[in-house]
Amino acid sequence: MAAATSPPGAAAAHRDPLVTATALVLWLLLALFIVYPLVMMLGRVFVHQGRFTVDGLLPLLTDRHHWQAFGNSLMLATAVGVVGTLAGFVFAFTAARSQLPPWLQRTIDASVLLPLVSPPFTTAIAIIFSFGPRGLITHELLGMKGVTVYGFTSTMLSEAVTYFPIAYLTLKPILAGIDSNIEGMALSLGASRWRVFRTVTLPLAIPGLANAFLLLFAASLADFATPLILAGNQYPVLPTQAYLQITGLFDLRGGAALSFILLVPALAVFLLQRHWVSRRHYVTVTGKGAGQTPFDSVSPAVRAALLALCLVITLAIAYFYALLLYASLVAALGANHDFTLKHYHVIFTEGLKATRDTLVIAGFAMPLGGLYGVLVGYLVARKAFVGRRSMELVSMANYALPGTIVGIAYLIAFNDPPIELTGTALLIVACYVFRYGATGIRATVALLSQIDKSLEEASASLGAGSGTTFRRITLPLIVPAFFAGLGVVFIRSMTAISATIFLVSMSWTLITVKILENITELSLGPAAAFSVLVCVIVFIVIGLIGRALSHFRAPGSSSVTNILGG
Amino acid sequence: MTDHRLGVRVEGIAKRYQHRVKGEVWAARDVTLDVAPGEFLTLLGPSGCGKTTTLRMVAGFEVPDAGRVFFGDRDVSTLPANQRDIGFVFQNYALFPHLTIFENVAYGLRVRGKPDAEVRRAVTDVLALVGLSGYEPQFSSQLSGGEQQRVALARAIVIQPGVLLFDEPLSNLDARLRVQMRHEIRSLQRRLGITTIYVTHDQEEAMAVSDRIVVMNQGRIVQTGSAEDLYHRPHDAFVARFIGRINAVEARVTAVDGAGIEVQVLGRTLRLPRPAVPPAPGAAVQLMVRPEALRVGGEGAGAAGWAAKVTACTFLGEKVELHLDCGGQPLLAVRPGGPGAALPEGQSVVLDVGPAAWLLLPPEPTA
Repeated sequence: MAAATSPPGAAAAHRDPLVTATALVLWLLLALFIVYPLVMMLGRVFVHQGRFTVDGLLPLLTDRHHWQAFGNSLMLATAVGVVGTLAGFVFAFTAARSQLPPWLQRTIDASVLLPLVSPPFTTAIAIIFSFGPRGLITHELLGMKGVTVYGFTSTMLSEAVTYFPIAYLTLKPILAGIDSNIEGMALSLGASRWRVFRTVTLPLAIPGLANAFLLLFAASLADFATPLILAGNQYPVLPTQAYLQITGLFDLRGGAALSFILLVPALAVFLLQRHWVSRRHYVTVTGKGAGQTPFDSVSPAVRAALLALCLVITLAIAYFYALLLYASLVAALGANHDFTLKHYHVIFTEGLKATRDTLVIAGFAMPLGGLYGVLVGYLVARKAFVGRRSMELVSMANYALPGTIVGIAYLIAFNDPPIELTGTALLIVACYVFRYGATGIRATVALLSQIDKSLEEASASLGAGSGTTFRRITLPLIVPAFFAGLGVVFIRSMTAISATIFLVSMSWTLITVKILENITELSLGPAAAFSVLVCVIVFIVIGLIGRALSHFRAPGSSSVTNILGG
Repeated sequence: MTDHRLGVRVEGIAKRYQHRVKGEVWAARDVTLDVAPGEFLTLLGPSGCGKTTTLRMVAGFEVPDAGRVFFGDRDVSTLPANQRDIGFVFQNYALFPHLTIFENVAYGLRVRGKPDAEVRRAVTDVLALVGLSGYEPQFSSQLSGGEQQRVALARAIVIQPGVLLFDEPLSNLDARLRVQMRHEIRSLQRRLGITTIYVTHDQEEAMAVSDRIVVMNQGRIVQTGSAEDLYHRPHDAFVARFIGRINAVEARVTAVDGAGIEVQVLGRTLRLPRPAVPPAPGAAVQLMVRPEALRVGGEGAGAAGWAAKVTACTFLGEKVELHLDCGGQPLLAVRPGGPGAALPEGQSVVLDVGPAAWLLLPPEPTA
C-alpha cells in the first residue's frame, strides 16, 4: 500500500499514475546510465570466463608502482584538503567577521569563483608559464636555469588553488550562521578575543571544517587533469595510471581494476561525508539574526592580516588568469612576446571541430540535465513511491565517484553490444547529464525543503492534478534550482575531462581534450587560447543565467553561486 | 448560491503512524462523523488529538488505514484531493507566492477550464465578498496576515466546493483579528450554505462558529454536541475541563438508593440525582462545578453554605473572578462585575451551589 512506502512525516499520496510513470522512466534511465556501467565495470574486474575471481586484481595489488600511486593519491588529497581548507577558512572568516566593504567582498568572491568554473588545466598551465623551465618568474625574473616544475608541490598548489573555493563556499554560511551574540556573550564573560575564537568560534565550525576537508579530499582524489600535466612521471597517481593503462596499454581490465582501487577511498569519503559530517552541524539557518550587527570580534591588526592574506591569494589567482590571457596573445611566452592572434586562429581552423562538438554536446546536455535534476529532485523530495530513497542514493553515485571511474565504466559498458554507444555524442551527453545533473537534484531538494508542502496541497484542493500542480505551482518555485542545474551541466560540459576523455572519438571530440593534446605537444599558446575561450563562454552563460534568475526569483530561493560551487 | 449541498459521512476512519520515541501511535482511531448538508461542524481538541489528521483524511491529503469517507452518497475514500470537490483553507494560508492575488483566486477556476470572462467575473465578485476589491494585482507577500487569510478564503469558496474545510485558519492572527475573522467566516458560511468542517484547538472559537462541535482526545471522539451541550452536559471530566473552566472537588459517596446518591463534599452532605452507573457507597468521586454556578454571599448570608475566604480578586470589567479558599480547597468563582462585586483579599464569604449545578463525571481515561 501507498502508506507503507510513504516518507516519515510526509502525507501519503494517493496512487498517481503520472508519478508512477515518471518514476519508472527515471529508474530505467538511472539503471541504464548509472547502475549498469558500474556493474559492468565491477564485472570486468571480478568476473573472468563466467566465474568470480580476484585474478585480475591480484597482480595489481602486488605491483609496487600501483601501491605507490595509491599512496601518492592519498597523500596529495590529504595535502590539498589541509591547505585548501585553511585557505577557505581564512576567506570565509574574513568574509563573515571583518565587515569588508561590499564592493571588495564582491570582487574577492568573483575572483575566488574563477578557478571553479574554468577548465581544469587553467591554473596548471599558468603554473607552467610562471615556474616552468622558461617560466616568467623562474626564468625571466629570477634567471634560474633548468628548473623543473613537475612534481608533488606544483600539483598540490595547483589543485589547492583550484579547489579551495569549495571550502570557502562550504564554510562561509557556517561562519556567518554562528550567532555573533554567542561570541559576544563569551566576550562579556571576560574571555579575550583569541580565547573566544579558540573556545567558541572554532569548535562550532569544526563540522564545517571536516566537511570542507572531505570535499577537497574527494576533489583532489578524483582530479585527473592537473596530475596528468603537472605530476608527470615524478609523482604517479591513480586516475592518471588508470588512464595510461587504458590509452597506453589498451588494458581495459587493468584500468578497471585500478579505478576499483580508487573507488575504495572515494566511497569511504562519500559515506563519511553523508552519514557522519552532515549530521553534526550545530548551526541552523533560521533566517533570524541577519540584520544584527556583528560585534567587533576581530582586532584591527588581525583584520588587516586576514585581509592581506586574502588579497595576496586573490591577486595570485588574478595573475594566473591575466597570464593565461597574455600567453594566448603572444607568439611564444618566454621566448617571443610579439602580439599575435594566431593562437585564436587555431580555434577556428583545426580546433573548429572540437569547439563545435563541445557546444553541440553542451547545448543538448544543458536542458536535459536541468530537467533531469528538477524531476528527480521533485520526486525524491515530494512524492511517495517505491524505491524513493534508493533513487536518491543512485542518482548521486556518478556525481560522487571520480570521473575516471565513471568514464572507464561507460567505456566498458557501452563498447560492446547489447548497448553499443561508444564514440557517439549521445554517450557524452548522457555522461554529463547523469553526472552533473546531480547538482540540480540537490538544489531542487534544498529549495523544496524551504517551500511548504501546503502549497501543493492547496493546488490539489482546488482541483489540479499532480501534473498541473507541478507545472503551475512547483516548477515556477523551483526555477532557480532548474537554472542552477542547467548552468552546472553546461559549465561542466565545457570544462570537464576526467570522465569524457574515455568517450571521445574521431566523430565527436571536446575542447578540453584538444587543450590536453596541445599541452602534451607543448603548443601552449593554442592551449591558452582555448582556455580563454572556454572561460569567456562560461562567464557569458553564467551572466545569462544570473539575468534569467533575477527574472524568476521566487521568495526563499537560494543564491546560484553557492549551487554552482557544489 | 450553491445548489449542490452535500452531507459528509465519515465511517470509522483510522490512521496510525510510527513515532520515533513512542512507537506506533494512533493519530485517529475509529472516527465516525455525520455532517448534515449546510452544517458547520468543528473538530475541537488539544494538539495531537487527531483533529487535523481527520480533516486531512476527509480532504484526501492522507490515506486512512481503515474506514470510508462519503460526500453525499458518493464514496470518495479512494479519490485524491483534486477529485473531491473541496475547498481547503490552510493554517499558513498557502498562497502561491509567484502568482498575483487575482491569479491565486482564479487558480481553481482555471484548472476547471472556465472561460476568461467567467473567471474575471467570479474572482471580482468573491474578492468583493471578502472585502478585498482592488487587491487583484498585488502579491501575497505585500498583504497583511488578515488580508492573506481572506484571499485564502476567497480562493477556497470561489470554486463553489461541495465541502469547505478549515485547518486552524485563525491561529496565525492576533487576538482581535481572530475574533473579527471568526464572525466573518461564520456569516459567510451561513450565506453560502456550504457544508463546513472546521478544525481548531480554541474552544471559544469553536463555540463562536459552530452548529455542532466534536471534541477529540487521543485520536478518538469524546463527545459531539452543541456548544451548550458540551458546556453544561459534558460526558466526562476531559470535556468538562476542556470546554470553559471548572472547579473539581474530591468527594465521597455515603449512600446510594433508587432515587439518588448522597455524597460528602467539603464537610457537607449533598443529595444528587442517581447517575446511570452509580458508584459504590464509600467510593471516592470527583464533583465538578462551573465558576459562575458558585453563588458568593456575604458573611452570615445563609447557614446552608460553605464558609470560604477570598485569596485573590481580579476585576475584568463585565465580570469579576474570585479566587477562594474553602477549607484548604481552592475554588474559582465568577460573578457579574457590577458595583461592589469586587471583594477585598481575606474577606470571609459563604458559598452556595444549586444541587443541579454539580456534575458527577466518570474520571478521565488515563492514556
